[in-house]
Amino acid sequence: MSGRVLVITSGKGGVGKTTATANLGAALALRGKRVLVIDADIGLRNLDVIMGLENRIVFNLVDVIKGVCKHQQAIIKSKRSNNLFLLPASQTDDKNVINVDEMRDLLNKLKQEFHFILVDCPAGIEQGFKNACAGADQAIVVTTPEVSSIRDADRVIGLLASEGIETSLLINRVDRDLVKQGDMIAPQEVVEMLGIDQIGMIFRDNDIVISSNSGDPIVYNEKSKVGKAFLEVADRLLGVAVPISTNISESFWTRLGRKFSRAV
Amino acid sequence: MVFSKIIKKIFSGSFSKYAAKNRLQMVLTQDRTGLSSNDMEAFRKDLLAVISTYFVIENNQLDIQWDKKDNTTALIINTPVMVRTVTGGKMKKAVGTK
Ligand SMILES: Nc1ncnc2c1ncn2[C@@H]1O[C@H](COP(=O)(O)OP(=O)(O)O)[C@@H](O)[C@H]1O
Ligand SMILES: [Mg+2]
Repeated sequence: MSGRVLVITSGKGGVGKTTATANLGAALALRGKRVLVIDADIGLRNLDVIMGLENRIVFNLVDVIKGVCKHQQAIIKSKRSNNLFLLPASQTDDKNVINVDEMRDLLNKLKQEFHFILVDCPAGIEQGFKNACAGADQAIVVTTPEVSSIRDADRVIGLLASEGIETSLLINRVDRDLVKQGDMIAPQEVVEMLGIDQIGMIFRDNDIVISSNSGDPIVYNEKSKVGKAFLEVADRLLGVAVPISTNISESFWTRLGRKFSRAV
Repeated sequence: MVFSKIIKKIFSGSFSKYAAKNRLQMVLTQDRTGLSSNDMEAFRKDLLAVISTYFVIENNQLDIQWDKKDNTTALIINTPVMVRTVTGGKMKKAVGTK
C-alpha cells in the first residue's frame, strides 16, 4: 500500500482545519479506506478532543520522531471505526523540535500502512506549517468567506504552489442568509479571487458546535446536512464527481435593493 | 429575506460584501505584487500618462486588476478610450482596450 498524504491548512487560525481533518478522516474511513489523521499542531493539540480520544493518548508525534516509541505505540484507534486512527501532537513541546526531513521520513514510512494520511496543520506559515506540508502529496486550503481569512489563504496557496503541491479550496462557515442579503462574499466569488479549484463548501452550522462538545465527528450523524457535505468532499477526494450544487448568490430582493441603493 | 430589511439596507446603502470584495482586491494585489498602495498609485499615474500620449482616456478611468490562474498572474488593464477614426480625425468613443 502506498497512501496519499493530504495536508489541511489555511494560514489563519480558527477557520475549521481541525474540524475538517476530523470529519474528512472519518468520512474516508466510512468509505472503507484505512485512514490516519495526524495532529501537527504541536503545543496546541486539539484533534484528539474533536475526535473524543483525549483520554487514550500515551505517546505522540514527537515521541515517534525522536525514537522514544514505535509509531504503533503512539497511534490510537478511533472509537467509531476500525479504519480510522489518530497520531496525536505533543502538548508540551515546541513546533521547532522536529524538522521537515524527519516529518517526510515518517510519512514515507506510514504511507505503507494507510490509504490516506491527513495532516492537521497549525496556523501560521512558520516551522509548524513547513513541517505539516513536508511530504504532502496534496493540500486542502480551508478558508471562510472573510477578508482576513481569504487573504491568508492566498498567501498559503502561493507557498504551496512554490513547493509544487496540488491544492484545492474548501470554503467553510458560509452563512446562506448573509450571502443572500449581500453581506457575505459568495463561495463562487472566493474561488474566482483565489484562482484555484474548489473541493467543497460547508455551511455555518450549529451541528458542528454540538458535535465538538461530545467529541463525535458530525459525519456520523446521518441526519446532519453539514455531515453530508463533508462526506461529499471525501467522495470528491476519491474521484467521484459529486457536483458542488449549493453555490448561492444574492436573493432577487437583494439585487433589486442594491439597484435602488445606487439610485438613492 | 424580509422586505423591510431590504428597504432599510437600501437607505443605509449597506451591502457590506462589496466593501469586503474591494478591500480584498486591494490587499491581494499588494500581497501578490509586493507593491504598496503608494506604489500602486504611482503605477496608475504613470500608466495614465503613457496611455494618454496615444489615446484620450475618458474621465481618467483606469481599471487595474491582477488575475491569478494556476501559477501565473496576469495584469489586466481596462480603460475606455476615445480613438481618432481614420476618416474624420474626430474623436470617437470606443470601448476598452485590454
Ligand atoms: N461550518 C462550521 N459551522 C459552525 N462552526 C464551525 C464550523 N467550522 C468550524 N466551526 C467552529 O469554529 C471553531 C474553529 O474551528 P477549528 O476546526 O478548531 O479551526 P482551526 O483548526 O482552523 O483553528 C470551532 O469552535 C469549531 O467548532
Ligand atoms: Mg486546529
